[in-house]
Amino acid sequence: MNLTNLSIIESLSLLREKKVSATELVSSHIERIEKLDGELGAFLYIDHQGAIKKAEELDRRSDFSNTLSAVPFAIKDSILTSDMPSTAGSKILKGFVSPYNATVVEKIKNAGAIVLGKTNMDEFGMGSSTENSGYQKTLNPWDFARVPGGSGGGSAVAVAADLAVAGLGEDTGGSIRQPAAFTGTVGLKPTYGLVSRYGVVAYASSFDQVGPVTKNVLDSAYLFNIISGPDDNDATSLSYTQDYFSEIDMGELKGLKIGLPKEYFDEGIDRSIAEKVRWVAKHLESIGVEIVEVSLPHSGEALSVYYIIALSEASSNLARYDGIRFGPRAKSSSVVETYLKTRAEGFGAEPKRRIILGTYALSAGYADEFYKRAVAVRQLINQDFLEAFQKVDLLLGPTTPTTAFKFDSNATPLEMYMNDILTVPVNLSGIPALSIPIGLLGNLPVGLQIIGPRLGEKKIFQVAKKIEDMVGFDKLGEPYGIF
Amino acid sequence: MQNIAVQKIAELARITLTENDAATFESQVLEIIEFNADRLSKISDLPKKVEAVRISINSLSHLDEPKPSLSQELALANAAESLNGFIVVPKVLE
Repeated sequence: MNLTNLSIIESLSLLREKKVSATELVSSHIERIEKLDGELGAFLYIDHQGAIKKAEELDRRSDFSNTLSAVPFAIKDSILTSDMPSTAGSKILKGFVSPYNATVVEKIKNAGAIVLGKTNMDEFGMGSSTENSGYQKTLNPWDFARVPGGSGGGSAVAVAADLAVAGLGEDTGGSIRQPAAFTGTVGLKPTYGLVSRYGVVAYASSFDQVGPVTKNVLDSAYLFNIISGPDDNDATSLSYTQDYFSEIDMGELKGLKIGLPKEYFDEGIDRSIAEKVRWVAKHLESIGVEIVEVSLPHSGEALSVYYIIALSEASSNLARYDGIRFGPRAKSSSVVETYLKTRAEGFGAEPKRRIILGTYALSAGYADEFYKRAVAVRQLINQDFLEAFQKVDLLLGPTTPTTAFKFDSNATPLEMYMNDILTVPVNLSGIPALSIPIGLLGNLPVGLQIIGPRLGEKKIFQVAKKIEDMVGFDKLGEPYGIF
Repeated sequence: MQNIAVQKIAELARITLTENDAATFESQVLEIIEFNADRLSKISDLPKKVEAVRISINSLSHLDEPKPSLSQELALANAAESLNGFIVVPKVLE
């Protein structure tokens, strides 16, 4: 039996029926990592021995009743773990081991999950291809010449290439959904506040959200039940809980109204991707869903608003990396020189660029023109979504303007930023969106994004499950690159 | 927009840039700033009153009671240099 292509639900079922042991499940993933990850580069740190030891302990107890008993996980490197290094993909945090676990890590560990290791990412989440990692490239398992998306390319590849059963990502402007779209996995950016940010390396605090990266929609809803919920350690977390999993097949889709935002299908979007999304919409129509066109008039400004506000927040958040309390310190005779040198040596080009842009946007004389104006336009973008959700229950569109692009194919940083054009509006508004694979173009996966109103995850999962059942992405084959 | 004093901004952000980096960043940063300025300047329906961004409703609050915190040992564990329970830093005052 192939144990590495199992979902969370399938793994738990086999463990509970005693058809597979925790050690077999974990060892098979470790072996696959050893065989493939030297080339794929999904992991920055792998805890081979710790994972096997935990699996053996679970086998000795022979109790797999916990909600994630022995399920092998991959965790994005910006999510803190007390027993493994957490670098957020940056050399400025090289060797950093957090004194505590992030709340989400605590939650999955308490549920019995076994963390295999930490996954590669663009430094501090700053990128759309994982090319900005301070450590290594991560290859897309569907085509090794192409990027896996970013910033969370490592977690997405770990799940897509069956190196882990599931993963945790973190989405500031699309860092869960865009890699999910590029690798044929399912990625959720939750409503802001539904998942605790405690112990998550801050990039842009009013955007960052942790979410599941999984092989299918069922796993996504199941894992979301476990990681979501209030946390005393995060003042922005919401006092709200919901069962997203049990009724995933019970939602009545007939009579549901779904909007296609016309701006998400304009000339900048690959025609073939737009057609595939419309083809899914037609399927939904055939089972009684009403499909209508809607408009989000300020979509064109979302990218600029994001790259002003997020970078302003980043310039402030990243001020803490000074070589004093954590991370390597450059040798110098004065404290200011220490800051200047440590940050020059520790940060890669993209964090430096973004810190400079953020510092500029907040500086005296420019804050009104940039930061304050961007905050005002963010309100308009939010208003667009609120108005759209008065007319429809959900929105549907492509996750990305193209399929996975080749390494080094964006000539300028601005060109790279353009890849986020369809994912950032959701982060600006704090609403949820799920990316699911709906087929292949050539040999590359295509992602569809379902956007819901605030706290609309339950309905998103129900529609996503229906689409997944109709489209049957898992039957389209395995990634080509690794076979 | 003519140019951006990248070196000055980098200094404010406490980052040393080489001359080569500064030259590359200057054109890239300028391109991004011009793009953003152009997009945002076209908006004619800016709200008259900008509300604070509503990050969350139903936010949590809890009693302000002291709880166990990080031990001194753990708090110092990642510092580049420590001595007798303190973080050692280079001279602050000349």
